[in-house]
Amino acid sequence: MLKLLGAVLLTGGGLTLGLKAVGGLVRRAEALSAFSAALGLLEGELALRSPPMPDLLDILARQAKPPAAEFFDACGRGLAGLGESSFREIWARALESLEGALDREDRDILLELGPVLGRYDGEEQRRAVSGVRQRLAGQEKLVRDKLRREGRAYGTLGLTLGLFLTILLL
Amino acid sequence: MSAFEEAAALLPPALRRRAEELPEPVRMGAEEIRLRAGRLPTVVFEGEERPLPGGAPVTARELELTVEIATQASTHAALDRVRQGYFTVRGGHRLGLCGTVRAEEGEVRTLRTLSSLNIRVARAVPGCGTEAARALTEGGRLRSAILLAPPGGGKTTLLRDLIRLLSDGGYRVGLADERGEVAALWNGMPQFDVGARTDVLDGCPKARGLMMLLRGITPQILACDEITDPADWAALEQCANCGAALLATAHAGSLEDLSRRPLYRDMLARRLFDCAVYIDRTRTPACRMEALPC
Repeated sequence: MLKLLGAVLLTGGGLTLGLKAVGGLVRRAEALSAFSAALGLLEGELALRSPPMPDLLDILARQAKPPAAEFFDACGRGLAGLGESSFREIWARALESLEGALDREDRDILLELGPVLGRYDGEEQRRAVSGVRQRLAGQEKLVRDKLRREGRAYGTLGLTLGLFLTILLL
Repeated sequence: MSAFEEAAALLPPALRRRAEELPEPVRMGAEEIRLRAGRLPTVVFEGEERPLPGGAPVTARELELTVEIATQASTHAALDRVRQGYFTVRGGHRLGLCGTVRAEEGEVRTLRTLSSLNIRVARAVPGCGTEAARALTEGGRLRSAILLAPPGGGKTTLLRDLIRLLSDGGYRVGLADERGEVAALWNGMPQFDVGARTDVLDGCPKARGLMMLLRGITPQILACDEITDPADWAALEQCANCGAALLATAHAGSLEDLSRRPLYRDMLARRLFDCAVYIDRTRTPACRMEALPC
């Protein structure tokens, strides 16, 4: 009975490990998609109304999908500390909180907007946002391709690893 | 919160604390706060620059932070004004900026880096226009006046008080407050007392604003600050021809100064104003009025 329980646990553990890897990729793809959409919204706002930063961040926090919504909300709340920190630093700090959702590479791309937003004219900001959005879309495509190619393999690998360990140990 | 405290609130915390350490008479009378990268921060008090307590010079980061605080990290929303080298913030305080300009096709796009800035503390001086207001309404006839003083000489302060006195005295005043320095509207409420019968058009280019006020609120007096553009003069002339009295300000030490500049010479020749009011704060009384030729 104990052996059976151990076998189930090992196999299940392996499968969970595989699925977790897949889940991480899915979450990253969804986060990238949410940021791409939010940056599209940001481009539109800059083109149409160019509102002040607190309004802009509020719009994005309300209309974007998680985790982009939480990110813009954190930036908006961070504005209360302007003076102690610059907007660039507030932006960078809010990005650090996305560690679980986005890779360092994705966050580095978003980091480039910190010194630009709110500082230059609408056209320049829009160009910068558009560039970042396209690169994030590229990242998302890579992640989704990886998911398609390797997603099932991760699950299978996890399951195989669990079974292998079960056989090895029993 | 005093006017100085409001202006000092635009500074990053370390500089703000130093400004708060100034003796009270200096805080109450400070006209400007000046920050220059690599130099000691100063306040202008009684016409002289005095360093803030503490020995640390201003850093480039502190200049940037000041602009971020003043614009709520939204320089882009104030860029039209930043391109003119200054902008007005809540409370009517004016931030003048210097640094490296990025220009394209002869047009200023933005200020890339800042080298110095100046916060001009906006203050109401109730009563400073009493004499001038009395003279402008003497004999029951309302006169048009141009207020003259060098930069920082108190034109806006006098204009604000004249508007208040004339408005509370029963005249309907239309104020084209393009830079928001006279009434300092915030959420529709003037931060300065500009009188009970004053209608304010904020943020609108003066020439357009004057015409909108003329058509929209049928004012007896039309007022605007810092006339520099031929379009403003054209609008003022049209308003004068419609029977409204005018109150406007211009940078000049005297009428002779004004007449040396072609734009103003033409304006004087058109006789839009009945009198000129000179401001010289070193004299008592500070205001002197002179009738212009009819």
